[in-house]
Amino acid sequence: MLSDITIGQYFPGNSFIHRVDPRVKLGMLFFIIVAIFVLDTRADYAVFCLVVAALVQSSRLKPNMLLKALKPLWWILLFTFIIHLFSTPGTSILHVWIFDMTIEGAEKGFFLCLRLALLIVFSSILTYTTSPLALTDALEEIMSPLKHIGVPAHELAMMMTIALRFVPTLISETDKIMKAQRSRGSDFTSGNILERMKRLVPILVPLFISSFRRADELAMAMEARCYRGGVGRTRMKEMRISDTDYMALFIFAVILVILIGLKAVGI
Amino acid sequence: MMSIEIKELAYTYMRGTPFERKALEGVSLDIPKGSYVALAGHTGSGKSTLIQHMNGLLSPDKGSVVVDGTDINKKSDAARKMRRKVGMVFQYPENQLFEETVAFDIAFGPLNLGLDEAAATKRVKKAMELVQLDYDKYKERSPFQLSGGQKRRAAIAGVLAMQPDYLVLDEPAAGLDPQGKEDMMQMVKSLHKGGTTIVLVSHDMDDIARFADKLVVMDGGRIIFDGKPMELFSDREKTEHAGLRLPKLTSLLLSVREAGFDVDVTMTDMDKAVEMIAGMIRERKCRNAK
Repeated sequence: MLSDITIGQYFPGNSFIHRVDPRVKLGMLFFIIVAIFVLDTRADYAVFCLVVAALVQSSRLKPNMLLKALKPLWWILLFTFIIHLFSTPGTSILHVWIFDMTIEGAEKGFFLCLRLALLIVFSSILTYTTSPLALTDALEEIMSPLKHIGVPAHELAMMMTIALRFVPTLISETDKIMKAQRSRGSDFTSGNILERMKRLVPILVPLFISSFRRADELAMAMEARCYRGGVGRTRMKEMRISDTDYMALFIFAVILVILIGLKAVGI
Repeated sequence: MMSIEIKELAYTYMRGTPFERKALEGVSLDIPKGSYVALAGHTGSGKSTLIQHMNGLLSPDKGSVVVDGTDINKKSDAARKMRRKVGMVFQYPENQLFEETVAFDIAFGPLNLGLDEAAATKRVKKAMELVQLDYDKYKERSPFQLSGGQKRRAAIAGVLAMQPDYLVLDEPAAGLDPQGKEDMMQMVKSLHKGGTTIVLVSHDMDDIARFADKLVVMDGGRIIFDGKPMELFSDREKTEHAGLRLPKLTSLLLSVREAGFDVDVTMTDMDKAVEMIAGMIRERKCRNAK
């Protein structure tokens, strides 16, 4: 059922990776993404894969959770691979009609897919090991210098926090309404697309009504507690850079140096 | 067999993830046709999970649910039809209303059953009569303009229009004012009198003592009591052990008995009980005067 879905995808834990400051993690993810695009030698790819393995090992995530993260992209990956396979000039292995399947194409396709997969996997490791709240807090901190040029960093982060907070609520609400309508003989699994869309009305209308009511109540509750935006607001949990973070940054720097070194040598 | 037969039911939420949680384990239960069964237990004891198995909203990991002789988790037309014989009124059912008018909303179920408009309208009329909403007055109204209690009755009518043989209600009186609550309980009682089998999830022991002829208590995904309500309530210790509170009247009668009067603690009618106690006191006074 719907209630079996995990959104936010955070798997609580207390590993080294879990304990690294979310700002540091976000920063590292940014550099890793840049690195994946810039550093494209085979040895670099090997290092990236080793890093993924090490991260999975130390954060005690189950490897099949990463496969699950890749699942929605399966078709895109396959498509990318096939396009490259047939559109790259080189040594032909198979000739189909006007297309040539080439060794160079297979290689290029494989590495591009690997690159895409690495992007997803690294981002998933971040969301798997960082609670959504910690992530939005980190985003707010990172965006806070932009406040001076009028970017409402706090408001944006608050909106994200609230949205994330209500995802499980909305899912359970949807689940409940679906069950209620199914008990009244509604069937969501058969019929053509048009019929299925029509059947969503009995779910969406109650869902919208309860969402508006909830938003109203939340606004009232926030006002009752004198919420007035981010100015002068302090935090209950201050984020501090700790030894763990220095350690993480050090390891990260070593990995980057290795990656750049490999690229420079050109293996 | 005309009943809902639940055998060795087991169910686990979010199987195979770190969030796995056992909700039901080895639950066996019989709900005979024509009975009024109350289901009690703490929040998280598995009541909601159990009732969702009764019309196939959840399918069990282990065990079976057999309604009137048909296993409802089989993939057959007969099973699908039988699931519809069990009506389900969730908590705050007014949250399921969506149509433009009350009549359309109530007709949603019958139309899903494949009835034509005339037959559906007939059912709408009957269902509204059962929940005491005047058809001519309310049929054209938007369900969102009704009062809280009326909305709930309209939503329940939406379930009754399916003409279920079994009706499962999850705290139908939650959030209603005392009068609304009493009206709701009387309505359920009259449905029961009309031949519908009732399964009532309730935290109100007074209601359970007054109306139910069978009480099932759950704790930690298991059934810890299954019998006549008074079998449990007439024993203060057993009731507390089951994590329940005594009905007010039973508590009073037990105290009276502990004070040395020979009263029938299984009474559920407040007026009769008061009369009986008053009579005994008068009798004792007379005796003392002599």
